[in-house]
Amino acid sequence: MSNVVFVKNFSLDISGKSIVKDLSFDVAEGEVFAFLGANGSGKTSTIRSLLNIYTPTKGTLHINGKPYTPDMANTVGYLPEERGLYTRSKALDTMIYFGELKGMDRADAKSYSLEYLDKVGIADKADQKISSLSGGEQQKVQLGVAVMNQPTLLVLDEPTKGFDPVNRRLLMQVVEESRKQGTAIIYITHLMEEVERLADKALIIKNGQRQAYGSVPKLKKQYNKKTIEDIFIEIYGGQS
Amino acid sequence: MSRHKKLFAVIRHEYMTVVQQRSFWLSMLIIPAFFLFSFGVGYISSLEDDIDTTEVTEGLDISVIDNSTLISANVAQDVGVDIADGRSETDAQDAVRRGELDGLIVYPQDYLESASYQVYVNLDDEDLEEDIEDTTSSIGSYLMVQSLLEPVGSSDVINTALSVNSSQAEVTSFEDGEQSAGIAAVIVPGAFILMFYVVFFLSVSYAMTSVSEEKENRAIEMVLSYIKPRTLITGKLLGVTLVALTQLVFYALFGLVAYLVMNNIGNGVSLPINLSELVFEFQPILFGLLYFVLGFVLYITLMLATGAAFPSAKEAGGFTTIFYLLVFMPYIAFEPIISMPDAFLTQVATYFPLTAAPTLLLRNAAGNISLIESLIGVGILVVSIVVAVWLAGKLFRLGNLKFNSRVKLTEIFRSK
Repeated sequence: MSNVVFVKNFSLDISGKSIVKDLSFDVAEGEVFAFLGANGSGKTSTIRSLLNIYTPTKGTLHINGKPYTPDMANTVGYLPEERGLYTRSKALDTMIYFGELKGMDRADAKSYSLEYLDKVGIADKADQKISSLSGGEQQKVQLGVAVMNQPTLLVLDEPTKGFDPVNRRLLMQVVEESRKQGTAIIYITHLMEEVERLADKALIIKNGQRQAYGSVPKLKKQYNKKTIEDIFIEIYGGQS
Repeated sequence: MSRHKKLFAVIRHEYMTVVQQRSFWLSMLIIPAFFLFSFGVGYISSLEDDIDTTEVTEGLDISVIDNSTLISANVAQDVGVDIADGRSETDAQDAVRRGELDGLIVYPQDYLESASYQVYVNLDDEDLEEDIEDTTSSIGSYLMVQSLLEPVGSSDVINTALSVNSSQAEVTSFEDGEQSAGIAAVIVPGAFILMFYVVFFLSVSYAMTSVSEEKENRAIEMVLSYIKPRTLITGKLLGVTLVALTQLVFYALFGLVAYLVMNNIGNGVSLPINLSELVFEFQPILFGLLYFVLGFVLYITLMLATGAAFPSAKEAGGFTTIFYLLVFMPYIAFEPIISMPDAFLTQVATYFPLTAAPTLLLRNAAGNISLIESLIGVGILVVSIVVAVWLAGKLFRLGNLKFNSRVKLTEIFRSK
């Protein structure tokens, strides 16, 4: 399996403050990579740097062998922690717009969107404004935007945050399907049962620095712990 | 190619988001509604007006040459104008040109057929300049109506008198001893003032709202992972520009329809100016267009920057009040700006970047700005735009992912 994500000696300073220091990891195709750490530990900043939203201070961050630029948007799906949609736009128009931003043709984006909305049971809401959809329906649209165009890398930053049980199940299905199709998945979460269920590999960072990294079984063996949660607690000394 | 497709997608999204809103069309209808209301009130009151002419003509030296022999000496005396017996039309025109007379009304011999008369005015007196053309023309109409009605003659005469409101005064103005285009010269460059205020008050705020809402909705991070900030800013700028163009086209069509309607109403309604008298001079039109475009770009960029700097549309909207006040200031102070171009206030308003565009537009229309001042004005606006673009870029980078706090001034200068 070849690496989709390659990060080497990455550091990030913002306004003179060190956010991430000398971080290295990689994610292979078809791999679910759990990116763990307490709030403010540097996870989201790392993802933003990987996607060139932030400019890294030092190091190499590659997606499919080169630094990410928006021209590669058709290969990436991103569901950020701070996520939302254009409330005054219609659901279908919103999905088509994001499809176009990802580099899809308008017609392709439209046919994908209609198919997806039908698949998740909200085809009848396609021409309704986002603001008139329920929270759960909006989450379905967000997820649809992230996975549209079969990306080679899917970045999910606390994806189940605020999701209802129905959408949580839908998300798990999406992750499993994407993994089978060879998509590399970076999965940021505080829910350790999701890590146990999905992750092939994990990285735990604290204050922007790598604390534990490797395959889930290897980490458990290395720390002599039964669960990732136990490892996390040991690293954070019982406090996060 | 892909980048252009993305830019086009942003432009379309920005444009459609605005024009699909009901409030967009409602806000656009406010101006025509106000215009129709004002026109209706004005028209109705003009039908009922009983002019107190002695008050109107007080302090004015207006003479009448009556080749039609229809004007009554008694009425002329009541109105307070002088019938110039024995004076030639050329002599009287020269008297107006020299400023010895404020105005001259000449009724032709065939008035009953042509229903038009000549008006000559002198614009040298700044206190009178503003209304002298309208006042003298109105006196011309009033004088004829009253004179024709005085004897209460045949039905033909009464009908003629009642149709006088639709007669045309052909106005000739003199300034500094030379024939001047008068109000006709102001209309075309003045149109840019109207266009500027229309797009400023109705369009530029969409740029701020667009950025703020993207932050409030939390859509910005997903967007920025797929396109470059520069593409997003350019797309927003062009999208709002299209919105502004839509508004201008709407108002142009409205103006055209209004003109056609007014032209066809017939009795009693006429445009304040004959369109064939409009003056199309290259320099005022060129600078009017430049000030309009540069002013629009400057303010739209500042609105984008403001939207990026604040965490919500509400906070950003509060800050933009400063822009509205500064742009409105030259409108409030238009009299001193027009009549005192060298005054300190006028000079400050002309060269201060945030008041420059409306002030330059006003002075350009009034014709009280030199070529050098015009060029300096353009230079100031161009430099201001460059600074605003730099500022917007910085604020966008610093503020677009700040969801709960605004960008501090120190951060702008500290960041690379």
